[in-house]
Amino acid sequence: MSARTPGRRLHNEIVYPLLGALLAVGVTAVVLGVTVMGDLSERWVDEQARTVGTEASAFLKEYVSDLERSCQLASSDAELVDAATQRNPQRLAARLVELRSALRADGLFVVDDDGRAVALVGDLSVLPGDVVLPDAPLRYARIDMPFTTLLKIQQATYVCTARPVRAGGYQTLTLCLCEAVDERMLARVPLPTGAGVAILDQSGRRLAARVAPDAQDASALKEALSAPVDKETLAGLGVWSVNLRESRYRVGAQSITLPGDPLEGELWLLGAAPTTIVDNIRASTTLLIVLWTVVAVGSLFGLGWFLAKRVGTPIAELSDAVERVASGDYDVEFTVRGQNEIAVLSENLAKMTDSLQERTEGLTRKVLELATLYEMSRVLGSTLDLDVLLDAVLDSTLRIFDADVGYVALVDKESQDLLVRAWRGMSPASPKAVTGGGSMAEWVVKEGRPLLFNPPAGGSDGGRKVEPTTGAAAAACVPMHSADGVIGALAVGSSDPGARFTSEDVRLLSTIANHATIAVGTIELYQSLQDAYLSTVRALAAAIDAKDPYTRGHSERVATYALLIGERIGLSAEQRDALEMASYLHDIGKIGIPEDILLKPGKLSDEEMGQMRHHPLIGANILKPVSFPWPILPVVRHHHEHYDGRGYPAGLRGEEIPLLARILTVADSYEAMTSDRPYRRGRSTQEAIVELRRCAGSQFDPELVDAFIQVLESVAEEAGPSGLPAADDGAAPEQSEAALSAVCDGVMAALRRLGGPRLAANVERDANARLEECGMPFVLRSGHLTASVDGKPSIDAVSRALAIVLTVVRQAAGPGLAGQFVADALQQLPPRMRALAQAIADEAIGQQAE
Amino acid sequence: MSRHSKSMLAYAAILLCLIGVGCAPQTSQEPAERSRIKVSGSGTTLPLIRLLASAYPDRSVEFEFLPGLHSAAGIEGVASGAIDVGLVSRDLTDEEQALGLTYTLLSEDGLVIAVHPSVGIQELTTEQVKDIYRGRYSNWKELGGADLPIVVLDRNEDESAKIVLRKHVLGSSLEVTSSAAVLSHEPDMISALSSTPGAIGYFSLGAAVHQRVPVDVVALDGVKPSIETLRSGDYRVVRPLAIVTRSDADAAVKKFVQWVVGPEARDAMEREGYAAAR
Repeated sequence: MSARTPGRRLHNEIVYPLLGALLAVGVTAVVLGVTVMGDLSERWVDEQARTVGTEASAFLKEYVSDLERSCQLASSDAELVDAATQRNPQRLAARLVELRSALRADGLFVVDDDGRAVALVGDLSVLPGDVVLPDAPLRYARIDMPFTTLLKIQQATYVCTARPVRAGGYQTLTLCLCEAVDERMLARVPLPTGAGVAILDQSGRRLAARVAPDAQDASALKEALSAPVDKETLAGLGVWSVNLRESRYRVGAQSITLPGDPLEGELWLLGAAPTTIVDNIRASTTLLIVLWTVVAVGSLFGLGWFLAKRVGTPIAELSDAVERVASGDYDVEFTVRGQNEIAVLSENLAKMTDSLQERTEGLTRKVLELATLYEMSRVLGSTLDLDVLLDAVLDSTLRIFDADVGYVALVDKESQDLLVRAWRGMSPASPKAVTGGGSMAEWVVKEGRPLLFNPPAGGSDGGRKVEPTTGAAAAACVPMHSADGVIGALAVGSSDPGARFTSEDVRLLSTIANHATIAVGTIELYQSLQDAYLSTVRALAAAIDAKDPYTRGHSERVATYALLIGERIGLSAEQRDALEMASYLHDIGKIGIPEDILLKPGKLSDEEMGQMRHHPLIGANILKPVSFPWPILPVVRHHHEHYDGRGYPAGLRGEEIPLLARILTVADSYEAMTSDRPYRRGRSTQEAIVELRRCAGSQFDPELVDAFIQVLESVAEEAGPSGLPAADDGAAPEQSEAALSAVCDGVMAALRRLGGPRLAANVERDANARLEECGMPFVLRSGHLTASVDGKPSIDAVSRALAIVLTVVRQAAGPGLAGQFVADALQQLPPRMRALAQAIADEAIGQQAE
Repeated sequence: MSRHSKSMLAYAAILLCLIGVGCAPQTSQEPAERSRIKVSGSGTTLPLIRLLASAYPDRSVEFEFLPGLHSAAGIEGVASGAIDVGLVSRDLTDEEQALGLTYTLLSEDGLVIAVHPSVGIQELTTEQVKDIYRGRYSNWKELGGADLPIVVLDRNEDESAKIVLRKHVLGSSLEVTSSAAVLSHEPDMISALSSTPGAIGYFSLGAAVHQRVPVDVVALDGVKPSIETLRSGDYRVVRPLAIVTRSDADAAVKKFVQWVVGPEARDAMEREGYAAAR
């Protein structure tokens, strides 16, 4: 059984005690009512029974006084007195006969002093001459005292009144008038309906009994009343019950003595009253009480049930609702209506729930914001790549706002154009398409204020509009403020037509934008730091190169080749940075090599070679105090190790050699092979490749050699015979496009050298964009201009492409530097090609100058 | 709740119905037209007329017996219209006959002489009876009975019984002893006779047989009074028991008179010791 059955407990707690109390009250009422009724009715019947006895007693007393009066009349009858004087029994008897028929007495007799009957009339069963009066009453008769007593003659009992007959001659005769104590006498006793009466003698023997003719079980009652009762019972019981076949009677007993009886003969009078009527009344009253109690209990219980339901049900509902609210479900309806306290409670609970929901949602949002900001700060701190950062910011932002459209636009530092740098949920044709005139980002950047785009409230489908640039139904855009001003804008939007952005959203979005701004600033700061680093290192490399004019540009070319390999095998940006850095610095140890050895044309002696072999260690030692952000030292130290372990300085082999060192070895050797030296001319690309293949596995890591050769071949295919940015000379055909291509290569190489590969890559990207804009079939790839379509491009086309590239370079590096780059590039060309290229370059510079 | 109250209401309704039935007044049956016949007169004829009234088949007739004294009162009552049927136990006198009433003889009732059972005498002669009433005997042992004083019970001279007794036994001139007790009504006579030791008296044979009075009826001059001896004429001390009615009496009265002389009434009378009139 579950601990809680919702909705019933309160109800039951009210209803069951109420039922118990009602039943208790009902049962008590019934029991009390029935008991009291029973007691009352019993007492009433007892009273009736006693009344019967009392009335009989009163009757008896009246009867006796009547008898005495009659007797007095008879005793003073002149004729009787005369007959008594004569003592003539015939006359006495005759007169007694007449008197008796007048008096209607049961018996009349005259006795002498001895108690013998002189004359007698009546059904006395004695004859004249018999002794009639016993001794005790006789004594009173002898002293001439009138009295009344009970007299027993034969089997019958009589009420006997005696009076002296005043006859002459001092003869005393006593006249006795007798009335039998029998039913005839009792017939004159007034009897209530259905009652009975009986007279018992002193010893409890029945003398007479009479039962009202309408009594139930009349004969049985008479029988019962006639049964002898012993004296103790009579004295003790007072009232007792007589149960007959169909009825029940209550019988009361009381004793009386006849008034003026000198013998004080006792009589018992029994009064019997039927309980039938009272029983009927009691039964119907009991039924009434029970019915009323049942009705009362039933209706009160029903009322209680109703009230409990009225109170319990809404409370249970409220309780359920509150429980749901407690478990976090705020989508609860408090349905109790009305004016009473429960309804008020319900309303207040509803208000409370709403407020709770509002606060909880606010809190949840805050927590989410905090979590998001935390996560974002981790993202912001974990990358130094701007694009990765912006993507991460955008993703997090969309997740927070549950939006599906968004972009980040940044102001380009140089062009001051607003460019989209990252986007989701849309495919802009170009960065300008999103950030062009009239877009949200444009406005936001210009005004430095957030902008909300929400569908009109309550707007139907008819008036539906979308934000034009993103296609979102609702959008928000905030500026990215930095110390230098607005650097960009962050925009999110939702294509859900029901979505709306609030000022709260804008606030959060602004917070995110601020964080992003800081991160962008950090990255920019880092990049400028890195660029400064690289510039310094390049300057250092240029200083080394300057020491050996024959190897001038060596480090830059090695860096180019090394990066080509690095890109090919998929190095990370960090590793590429380290590789580039190491490439520039790998020969720094040559500072410590005497110039005569370094610049010695021809083959070195063993000793010289031994000294020469110190340069990686020297370089490592020089760089040791410098704390680089990248692990450069091992690369510098081991860039002359051979794959088979026969290199120097440590003789590491295979995978023991750092990867970057192995790459550097390949790039360094290739550059050395292909460049001119004072003692020999540089080999061609094909020759170099053959040589690389030959030494793969011994000197070089074969995998890296494969990768490099693939790179070289792909470049060669694209660029044709004049492919690589090598220090080619007059062996190449004297064709103008080749010259132009070489100029382009030179410019890009110079740009890369001075501005670093990142700037070079940017310029390359921009140039490609411009070329595409202008419909030129050229692509700038790895600093090399190649035709993007088959067939021989015309000199004019190449010239225009170069012009575009130079324009981009000029925009990126400024006109002065661009000119220097061009001059530098021309300088590197063989003298024959220089003049041709000079003209085209001047034309291109001129073009762009216009 | 509603089911409860419904059943409660039903119970209450049933209860009320029961109470209503119990308390409803008992509507008595309105009697069909009842005719009432008022009867009074001679106490001697009264037992006979009661007997006949109880045997009368027409239950719609109600008899009302008014306390009567003797035949004369009955005749006067009928003549005055106070009663419907007058009871008579003698012949009508000339004056009475002049009233023009209808005289209907019911029975020739014997007048029996009887003694208290304590006396122990079964037979007396006319002379002995005369002597007893004259007061010549004082004790029954003088007549061969028990040792008891003779208590003479007598009726008034104008009573039909006394008239009949004088006519047949005592003779008109006999003077009854002063010790005799004179009783006014035949029931008194019967009561006194049965309850007074040593008593002698006279009363209707029909009453003696019909009421089974505990007395000894004596044979007079050797003739025991009975319906047979009465009818055979051996027992001569008889008196008529009759009723008088007005000639313009109600139909119900006439119907009753017609019935009492019929065979049904005769059978009833004979069954109870009355010799029906011929």
